[in-house]
Amino acid sequence: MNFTASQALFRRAAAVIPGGIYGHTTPAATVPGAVPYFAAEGFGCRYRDVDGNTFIDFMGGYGPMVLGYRHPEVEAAADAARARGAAFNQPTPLLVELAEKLVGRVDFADWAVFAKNGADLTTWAVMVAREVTRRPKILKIAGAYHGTHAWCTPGHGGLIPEDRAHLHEFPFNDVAALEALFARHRGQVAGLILTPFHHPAFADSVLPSPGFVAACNRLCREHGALQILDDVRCGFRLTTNGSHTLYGYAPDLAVYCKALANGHPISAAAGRAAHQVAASRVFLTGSYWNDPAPMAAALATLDIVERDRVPERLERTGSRFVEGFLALGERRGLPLVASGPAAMPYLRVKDDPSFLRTQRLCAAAVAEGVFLHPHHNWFISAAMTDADIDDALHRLDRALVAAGGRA
Amino acid sequence: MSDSVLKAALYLEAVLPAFELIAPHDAPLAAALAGPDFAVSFLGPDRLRGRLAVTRGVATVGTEPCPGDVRLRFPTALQIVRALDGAGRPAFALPVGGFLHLPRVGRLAAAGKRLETLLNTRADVHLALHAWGNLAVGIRAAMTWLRRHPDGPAARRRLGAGTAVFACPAFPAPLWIDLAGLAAGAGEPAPAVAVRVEFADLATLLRELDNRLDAPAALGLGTLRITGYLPLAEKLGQVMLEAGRLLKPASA
Repeated sequence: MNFTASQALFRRAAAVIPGGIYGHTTPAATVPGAVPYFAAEGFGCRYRDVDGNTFIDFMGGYGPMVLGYRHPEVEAAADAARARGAAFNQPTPLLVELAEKLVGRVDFADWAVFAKNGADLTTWAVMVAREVTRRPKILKIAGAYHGTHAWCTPGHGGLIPEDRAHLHEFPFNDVAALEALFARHRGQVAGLILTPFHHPAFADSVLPSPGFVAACNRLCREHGALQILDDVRCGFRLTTNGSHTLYGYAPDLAVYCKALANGHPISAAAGRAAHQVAASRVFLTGSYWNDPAPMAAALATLDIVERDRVPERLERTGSRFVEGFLALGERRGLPLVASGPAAMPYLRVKDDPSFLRTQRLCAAAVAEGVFLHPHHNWFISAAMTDADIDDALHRLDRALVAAGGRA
Repeated sequence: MSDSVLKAALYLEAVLPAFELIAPHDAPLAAALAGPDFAVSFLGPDRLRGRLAVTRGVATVGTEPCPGDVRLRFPTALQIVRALDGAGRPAFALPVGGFLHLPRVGRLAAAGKRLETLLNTRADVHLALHAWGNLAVGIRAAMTWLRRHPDGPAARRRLGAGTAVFACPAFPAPLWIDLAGLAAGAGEPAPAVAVRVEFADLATLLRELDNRLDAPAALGLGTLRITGYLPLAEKLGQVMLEAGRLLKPASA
């Protein structure tokens, strides 16, 4: 596969942009040299890079493209809003409509606010928890990603110890460790922030045990701490009404983003009536946060997710893909390990702690026109049909052989 | 642990081994060490130990003194630093053994000067050895830091137990560090490799050594290649940077 244009563009980028491409889309995090660096256009569950290569996309922009690229209903709604203007002095009625939509959709929600990215609102939610409780401590899962702000970034540049002086980590599903933290910091814990299931990079995904979910709910209640569910990656993908309903969490605050508006820039936080006044005291704004087009896109996306039973469809399509890929791995003598929900699966080569063989497999998949990530969970799109999955599996069969499987 | 103990340990455990690594590849250094066999052991408080022996012209580095060694006992860690940091400051040491061989130790001064030149200057003729030597010192400095710094145990837990390999076409041999056993060496490692870091050229490596490499950009450009468990390379790089800062020449 030819990436000449991607790499030429990257040389220009590296001259004028730190890192060339920064953040999660940096090629450094995948298999540099074996993947496209720049995209050109998307359509359904496929996208084309700047070299004209086309890929069946199992990343979906790292999550946002839950319905697929350029979904006609979502784009029509966004276009109509955009045609009337952007970044007004006041919000448009869409702000209220979207808040009402979320309050009607999410069972525990009595109010909602909006921003642009997940981190805008995970950070704000932490501040709300502190405002409500007047306490400093935040408990967090070790290795969980909540954004790029100083208290939670997985990076190491520009940090000082004080950034995390009140942040305490524990392993996912470890009830004893969570109990110990609550006990050690009795009366000091403002909130517990967690993702519905554990989806760290460079590791298998882990589903929550019922005992862990129950412990999160019980300990937050007993200690008067707020439970903050970071549903940025999973929200409206695993269920139509928030992932807490799937696993049994009882959040006080939840943050949504990726699947909210099918690629349009908007995030949301929802909370309980008891915390609405405190939330109003935590300043929240941004230059473009009232932009109506993404709100229109979110309203359309939420309607489609419910109308088309998108989570069920993702689960069924994802299962077809995961089961098919696992079977191919066995047949080619390159066994794979699958983890996470079928709608957000992560597969890697078995007995591959260094990820070297997984990286080789993902590079081979890209060469066959299937975009997979070697270290990050994948995303099934509602635009994928059974025929798309079968096409992907056919290509992945060749990729397995190219990556060292039996011919 | 005081700064001077850590710094003395870095000289004994990270810099001293560079004699053994580089001498076979650098004629002036080998010539400076050549002559009748000798061995010198450095002894200090806080388990500070280092031994350099030259046998039939071959330099080897260890930790524990052997019978017949010239033994230099330093009353404080700071005296070890003064003796070895190349600043030319007087250092107080008590010779406690191997007196008959004391005159042979004079060769150490010339060899030390050559090693300093190789590690601290960038003449074209020894650029590859400069880069290789500095990386080797950086790797061993990371080991010492992990072993002796108060934050070392926690950092070691975060790093895990893999083996990292560093390679560059200009190198005489790849360098590796095994984090499980805190061992390092040159050549291909025996333990399974968790991550392999390859510099396409010396210029890229020199920028990395100077902490001036835009690593994500270099990865995209292909001048730096990391295969395997990337987080290990990232975290190890942080430790090497931290430890390396303690060894930078005063003028740097």
